[in-house]
Amino acid sequence: MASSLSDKNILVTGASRGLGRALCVGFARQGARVAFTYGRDDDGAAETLAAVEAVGTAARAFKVSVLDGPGTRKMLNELDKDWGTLDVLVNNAGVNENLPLALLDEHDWDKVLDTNLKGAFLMARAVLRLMIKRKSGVVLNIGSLAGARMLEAPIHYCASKAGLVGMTEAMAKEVGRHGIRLICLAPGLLEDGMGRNLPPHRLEAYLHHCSLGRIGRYDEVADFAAFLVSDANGFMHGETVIMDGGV
Amino acid sequence: MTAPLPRRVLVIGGSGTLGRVIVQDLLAEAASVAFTWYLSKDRADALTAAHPGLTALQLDVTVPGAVATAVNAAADALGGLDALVHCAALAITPGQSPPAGTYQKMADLTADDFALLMQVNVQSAFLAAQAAVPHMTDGGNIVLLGSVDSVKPVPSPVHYAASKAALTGLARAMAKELGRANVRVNVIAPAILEAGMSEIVPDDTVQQFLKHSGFGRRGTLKEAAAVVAWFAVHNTYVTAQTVALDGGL
Repeated sequence: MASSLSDKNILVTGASRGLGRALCVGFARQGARVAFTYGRDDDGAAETLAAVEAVGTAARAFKVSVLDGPGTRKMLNELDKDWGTLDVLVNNAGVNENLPLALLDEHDWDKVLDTNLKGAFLMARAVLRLMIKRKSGVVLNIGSLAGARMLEAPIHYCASKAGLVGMTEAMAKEVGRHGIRLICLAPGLLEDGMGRNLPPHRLEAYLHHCSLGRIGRYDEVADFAAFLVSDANGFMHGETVIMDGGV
Repeated sequence: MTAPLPRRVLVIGGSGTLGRVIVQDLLAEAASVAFTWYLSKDRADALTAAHPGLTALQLDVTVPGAVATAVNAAADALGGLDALVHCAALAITPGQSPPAGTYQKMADLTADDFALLMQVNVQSAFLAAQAAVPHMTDGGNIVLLGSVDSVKPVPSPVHYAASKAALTGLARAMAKELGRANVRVNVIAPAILEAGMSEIVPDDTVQQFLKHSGFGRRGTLKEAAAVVAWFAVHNTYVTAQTVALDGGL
């Protein structure tokens, strides 16, 4: 398959469940060595480890917040010692709260923006310093349709995901000359994401406007992500690709 | 993991510089491939000689009815279709060579010049898709080759840029209409590549591209073909998108 990731070392943030776990498994299936971060869910992290190991690859789990500078530096030092190189960072860690404007307090805004955008920036900055020295690497930011199209979705979440689009473009300009690729993958509703919290009538309306008439699957996103970060995809840079079934 | 997808692919314009690499990449993905060619018989013969089982069909996309005939012939040869790749295109009006270092300017274009590029670059994509969809009985992928000229403001012959932009509208509307039949439609829009149509881009434009792109280099044919092949063979949920391949312009 064109998206083989043999010999690639990949770090995925926020992978104790959902899309993060699927990304780890998808990358491992393509031959990559995988490490991931998680915040609190030890049981979920253990399930992700088991899922990756089930496809025949060892994985590493780090219980560290993407906002924890010293903690992430320690993790990167460990990976550097064990792996030698980190080829791909996937900024997947994200949170959301389904709050309307009237109920959205400043601390709600800060929490979502901090995790989804500032955390991605901090992780990318830390990793890019290593990648720039090696003159190679890929950073894949997991955005959202909600950050790329006008949708009825929580304002702070949309703003954080739109921020990832801008950050991807600006970072692409700054680090492209060092042989590093930046891409943002923006999925629509997925099998167990925000769609789970939508009232039935809104999910129905969404599916009505979705060309393919269904929400996406994690494995579909993981397959695409595996191609996006592969060497075969060498000229896509600074791009945000929406994967939403045609909403 | 997703089950392997059927891989019967027709490439319209498969003897061109990029088209040939796309055909070869699809074959490397274990696809069954048919392709059309127009004037480059030698190139088409070389492809079929190198890859037994490859179906080659001559096609002039400007001849009424010819596109549908070729698509139906390809479907017959492959036993159906799972993907259509359209990369037949004109970059400038045939027979007109702009002065060295420039490109065709709008003041020099006639209505016929404009219409010809729309016919070759857009209408043939529509006709090919229209003929291909009935053969995609289990759904499929339609991949149209666009250009960065239609995605970002760069110097370009206006009829070429307009034709490539039209593909984006075509893809979005087709994606809406065909989605329930599980047919996905996307445009892959490369910038300046190492060979092919990029060879007629004025040097000044190339230098500006290299200066302003994140990578500071041209793309390779292989890089463009790999994305096209992924969208033709593996894609199950991306549709109605125009994806730029421009090294960060």
